[in-house]
Amino acid sequence: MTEWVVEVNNLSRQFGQTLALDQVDFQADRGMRAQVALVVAVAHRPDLLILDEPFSGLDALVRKDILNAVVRTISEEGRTVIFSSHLLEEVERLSDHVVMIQQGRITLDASLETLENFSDSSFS
Amino acid sequence: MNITINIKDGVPIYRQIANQVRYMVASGILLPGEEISPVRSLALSLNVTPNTVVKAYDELEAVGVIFKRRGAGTYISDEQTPLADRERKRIVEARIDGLLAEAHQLDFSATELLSLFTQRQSALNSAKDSNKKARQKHD
Repeated sequence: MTEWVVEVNNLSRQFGQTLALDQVDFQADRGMRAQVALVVAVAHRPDLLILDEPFSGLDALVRKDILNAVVRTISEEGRTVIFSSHLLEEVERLSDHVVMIQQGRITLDASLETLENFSDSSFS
Repeated sequence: MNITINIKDGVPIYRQIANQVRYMVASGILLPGEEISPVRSLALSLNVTPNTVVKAYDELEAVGVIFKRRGAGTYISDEQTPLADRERKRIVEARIDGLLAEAHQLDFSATELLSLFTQRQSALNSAKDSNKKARQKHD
C-alpha cells in the first residue's frame, strides 16, 4: 500500500503538481480527471497499458502532459501501450504500429514505418 | 541539442530529427566528437516514442554522421568533410528543386529564371559593396 502511494506521488509530480486525490473536482475538471485516471492506471506498474482516447477533449497543456507521461512510460519503463485516438498527431508521435478501424472493420494494419514510406513515395 | 518537430510538415518525424542533426553538423553547430542527446532524453523532450529517435540515429549512423559507443553514448563522427560537402549540395539541390517547381507554376522559363538569378546576385553584391563602402567611410 505504501509503495502504491509513493508511486502515485511520483507520477503526479511529473504533472508538475502533487495531486490531492481527495480534493479533485471530478465533475468540473476534465483535464484533472484525465491526469488522475492516468496516474491510477500507471501506478500499479502494469506490463500493458490500455488507453481509450486519452487525448480527446483536453486542452493543449494537459494533452502535452499526458503525452509526456505516456512517452515516459514507454521509454523509461519499456511498457507496451495500446491506445485509441482520432488525433493523427498523437498517433504519429507515439506509435510503432497502427491499426485503423472504420465502421467496426480493420481497414489497415501496418507499422508506422510502412505508413511513412507510403506517404513519402506518394508525395515526393 | 535544439530540435523542433513539425507534425504538420508531412515529413516523417524520424527524418525530421535526422535532417536537423545533419544540418547542425553541416553548419558546424555540432562538432566532431561531440556527444549528442541520449535516445531516451531526446524522446522525452520531443514527446515522441523512443523508437522514432532510435530510427533517426540508426539512419545517421548508417550514413556515417554519428557513431555509437557501446553503453557510452552517441557522438558526432570525425570524418565530416566529404559528407558535409555532399550534405551541403543535397540541401541546396532540394531548395533549387522547390524553386524550379514554383517557377514552373508561375510560368517562368528556365532562361528567365537564370537571368533573374544573375540579377538578384548582382543586386545582392552591390548591396554588400555599398554597405562595405558606407562602413569604410564611417571608419
